[in-house]
Amino acid sequence: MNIVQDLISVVGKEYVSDRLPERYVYSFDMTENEPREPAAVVMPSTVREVQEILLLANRTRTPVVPFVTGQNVGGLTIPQVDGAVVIDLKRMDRIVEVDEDAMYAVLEPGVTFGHLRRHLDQYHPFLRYTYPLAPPYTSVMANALLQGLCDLSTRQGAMGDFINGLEAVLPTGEIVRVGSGVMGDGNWFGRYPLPDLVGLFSGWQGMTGIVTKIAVQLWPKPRHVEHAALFTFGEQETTDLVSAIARTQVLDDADCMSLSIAKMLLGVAAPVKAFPGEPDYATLLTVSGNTASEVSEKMSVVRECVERAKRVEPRQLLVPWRAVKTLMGEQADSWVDFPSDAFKVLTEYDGLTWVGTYIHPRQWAAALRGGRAIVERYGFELMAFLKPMKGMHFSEFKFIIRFPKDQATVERVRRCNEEILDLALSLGAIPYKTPVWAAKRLQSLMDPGYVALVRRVRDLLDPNHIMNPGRWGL
Amino acid sequence: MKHLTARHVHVDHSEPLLWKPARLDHQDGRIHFSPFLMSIAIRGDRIMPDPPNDLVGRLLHLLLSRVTKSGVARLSTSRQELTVVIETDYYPVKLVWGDGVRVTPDWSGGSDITVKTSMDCIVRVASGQSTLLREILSRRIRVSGLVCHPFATARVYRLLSAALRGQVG
Repeated sequence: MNIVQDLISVVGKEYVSDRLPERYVYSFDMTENEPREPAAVVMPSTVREVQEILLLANRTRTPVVPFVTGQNVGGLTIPQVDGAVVIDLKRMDRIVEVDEDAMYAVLEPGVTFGHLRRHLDQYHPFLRYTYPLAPPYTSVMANALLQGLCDLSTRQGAMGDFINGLEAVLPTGEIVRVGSGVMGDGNWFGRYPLPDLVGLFSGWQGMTGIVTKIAVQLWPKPRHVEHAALFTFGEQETTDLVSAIARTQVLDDADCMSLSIAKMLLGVAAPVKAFPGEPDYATLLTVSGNTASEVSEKMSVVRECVERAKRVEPRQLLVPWRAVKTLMGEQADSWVDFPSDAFKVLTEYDGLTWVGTYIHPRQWAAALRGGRAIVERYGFELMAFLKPMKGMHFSEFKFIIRFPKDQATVERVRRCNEEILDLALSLGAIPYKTPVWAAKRLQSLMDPGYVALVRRVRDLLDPNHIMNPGRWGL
Repeated sequence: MKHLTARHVHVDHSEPLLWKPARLDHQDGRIHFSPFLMSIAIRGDRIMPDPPNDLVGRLLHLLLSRVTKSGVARLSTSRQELTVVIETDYYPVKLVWGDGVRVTPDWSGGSDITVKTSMDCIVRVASGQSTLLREILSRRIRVSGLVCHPFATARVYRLLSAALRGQVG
């Protein structure tokens, strides 16, 4: 392949490969999405190298797929066309800047949640970032650009809202900045008041360019943090109660999950089944404050909500963290101290997938109820995961499936996911980290004017369609 | 031998099974038993290795496992065979003392001691807002079988009290 020699001239032969082992490794992810081998893999280490690679790809009409750690669930880094070059960005792993005054960090793509947490704890102990339910070796930038969840989402919203600005290399080779960083380095304080062009890169799954730096908001590390566990029965009752608590605005975060997931964390072996009489859901609640009494007052607000809910279902149970630790042991702390590896229980098999959506709060219970019925019909473990978002302005729900990747199970997973997606779309939900098959279904239901606008923007930025072609069904 | 706790006892799996059933280690002051002798000597003083897969049973199993490891309370009772049912408002679980203590959500077959309570009550004790004794005196925890099995009940009470106070090492 001729382009390989050209890529070697850009990054050196150590960082280019078209050998079968590398092509195989980059051909699949944990999901049921069909694998496809790239033609080659290249690992740049500087913005200049990224620029040269994209200029080369644009000149030769070579499709490229950006990649960092490959932890996404949705086949997002699997090439959709033959002959693609995967651009693995994990060598670009510098924390460029941490601004304590305006509380932001400027990061390269390869910086992981683990890196950032360690750096902040060591050099800026009064600041924190926010972390998802993902392994510590996941890319901060990828999760922000894909508008994922984090452990401040109940208060602050999706991670896309944490982006202050970014630097990107366009498919045609230009280096651009968006956000207040357009005024120069050391000035990444926000996105306003400007045309908000972060939206040209956020949520696009690498179709409009390669982001080489991102400025993300940091937060003061709270002096006092308290957790509690909430055990609840019933889909409607659970979403009603979690919504009621979230609407009080006292929470930093709430992670509501099928009890099966909590039992997995307690070491129950696969397949985890529900036992008659058990609660349906377990929710981890987090509140914080500047003083112990502020935290205590916030917890009493939570307790009031639970007491009200007990009038309908007396078994709804709020468990203070001290009791959680007594009952479950010190291991309980690993469930709330993010980034955490505790949730590696989800990777029991070689397959892991989910249909995850953001949804109107009014439809939350219906989605949960309907999704549960579908998952039960297909015989998978019940692994719903819910989060109230941005003070309950919207909600998140997903059904996770862990599965062995034999052909029959993969086919069953596909059918199950399709049914869950159809249910979600019928309720007006919008899937995130969307695999191609799901994006196509989504587009068939969307305002056609929006889809046309997306295509026009993509055509403008990437006239030769080299960036992740086929992604999002475009 | 019945009064030994896990603090004093070490099961030495490297020892030949019958040649040396027990030896005193002068350095650590502990008596080292062979696994064979151990299973006879303190029957019922270990939690069975197969934990149940339901929530309440699993939590109880974890608590009792930690008690066993830390040695702050004893699992053994004055009776060789004993069945305790803990009836919660979620569902009942059964503790069966035999070759070891087995926790199971299967509560059929009756019990020697029955503890009737709610998860709310258990959480109050586990969070330090109340004590087992206070909950019993206020009848939020009801115990039956006390008259027939007073010593076993007392032992179970001490065990659960230590475990729920978090005194598990």
